[in-house]
Amino acid sequence: MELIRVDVKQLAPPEPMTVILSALAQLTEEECLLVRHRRQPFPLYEKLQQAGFMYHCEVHSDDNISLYIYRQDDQKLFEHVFNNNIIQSKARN
Amino acid sequence: MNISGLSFNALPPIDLPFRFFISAPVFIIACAFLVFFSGESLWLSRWQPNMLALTHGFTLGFLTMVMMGALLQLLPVIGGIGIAKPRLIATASHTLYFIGVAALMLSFIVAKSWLTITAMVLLSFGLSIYIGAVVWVLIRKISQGDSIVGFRLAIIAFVCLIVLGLLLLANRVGISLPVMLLGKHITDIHALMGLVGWAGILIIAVSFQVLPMFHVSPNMPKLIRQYLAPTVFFLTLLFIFSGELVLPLIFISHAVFASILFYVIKHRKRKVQDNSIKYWQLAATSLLVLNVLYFLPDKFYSNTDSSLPFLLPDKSMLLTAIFIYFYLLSVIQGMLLKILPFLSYTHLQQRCLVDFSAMQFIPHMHNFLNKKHGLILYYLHIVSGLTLLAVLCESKLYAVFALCLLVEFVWLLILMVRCMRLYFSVNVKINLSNNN
Repeated sequence: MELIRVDVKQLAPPEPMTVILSALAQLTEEECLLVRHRRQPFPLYEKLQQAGFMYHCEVHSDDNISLYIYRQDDQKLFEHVFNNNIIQSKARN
Repeated sequence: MNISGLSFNALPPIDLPFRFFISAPVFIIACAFLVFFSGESLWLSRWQPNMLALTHGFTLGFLTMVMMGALLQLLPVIGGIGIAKPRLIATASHTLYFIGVAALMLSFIVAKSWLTITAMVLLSFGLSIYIGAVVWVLIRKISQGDSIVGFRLAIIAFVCLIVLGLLLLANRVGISLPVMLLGKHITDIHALMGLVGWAGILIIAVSFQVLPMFHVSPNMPKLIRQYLAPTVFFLTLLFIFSGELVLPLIFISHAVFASILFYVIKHRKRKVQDNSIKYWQLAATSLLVLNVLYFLPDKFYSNTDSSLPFLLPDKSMLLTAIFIYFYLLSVIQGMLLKILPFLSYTHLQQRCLVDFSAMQFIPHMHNFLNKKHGLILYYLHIVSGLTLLAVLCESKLYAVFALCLLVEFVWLLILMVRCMRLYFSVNVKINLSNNN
């Protein structure tokens, strides 16, 4: 599974969502989007599920979170690679 | 590992907060007519019936109306959980509250018992429904603790102010309760619970989130986030027992908040021209000016036996006017300028998750609320605020204040309607695109 990284920490709304949506529009099978953000985008979660995505959030501190988003079909793959720490990283602009 | 499960964090439909927002300026427009037709006598004292109608038009009709609408959206954004059955709750509470506030204002003006009782019933039901739904969310263990603690305290203050308000109204229709023996102190507690406890603490709690979020500013210091809202709340409670000793501390705690606001705004990463930031700076400056005025010796005020050539107007009227108009109203207007276009844009944007090509229909966020139009509102707000101060010094100027108030809030209403019309027209385009 390949990891696509985007960092929206320094962006003001609505730019973080624009970046996330653009990245999700290009997300292919067996790819996972890693969003670095200052806060959890709670209202996005339910919409993600409706659109066929799954997510996993890690809260590191008050203003530092990592959000993994992947396709629902890739859930088992994500859990496998995440638990075994074998995700490959790939930058996308 | 927290693999996603069921969630209740979706934003409520946008028309729900919109109906609270768009109702708010209507009350101030009504207030403008009230000021115009009441004449000079309105400004004689805070106990004038029409003055009570005016203050409740501002505080309940505008400030609380906007705050109620904003909380509907803020809870899922900040805490991760929204209210249950949002359409039912928002529709019922908004309708009852809107008519209730109108009845309350009228009951002060025409002094009819049936109007007072109507207002009591409508406000009790409307606010119980709303507060019940918000408390259902706030009693849960939800994220972003510091702001949520502030929300909880603000809601407690809100409940206290409503109960005291209902007792005062009951007294007007002849139902006298033992607590009324405290006389004007009850009214002072009611006012302080509303202005500082409810509105003030909610603004403090919201600022912890919105400044870092919208302006990429540093977080407020941890000590401030943890202790400022509880301190202000504790002081508000202490005021019940010892007003004279506590008021200076309430003013100082707000000066601390103002200083922190300046610090956070100065150190924000995106130093772009922004009308909301101007409003925050105006609000923070007002808090510092309020401190200077509060600690100024009494001989500078007209309600004392002073021989100074120029005297400031009645101290409590002046401080209350500045706190409401230059602090609370400034923050709320600044927030509206930020959240109206943001909510419109973000609701439309979320529809593009399924079909990204729909993004082509969404205009730039600034098209929802033009920055220049926002700046005009800011200047109108300053001008009408200054005319308010002028009318406190010279009550003959009441018509000028009424006119400024009317222009400012008609302009705000126009900006809101334009924003909402654009939202709904783009929404229709996306619907049509999805159907094809």
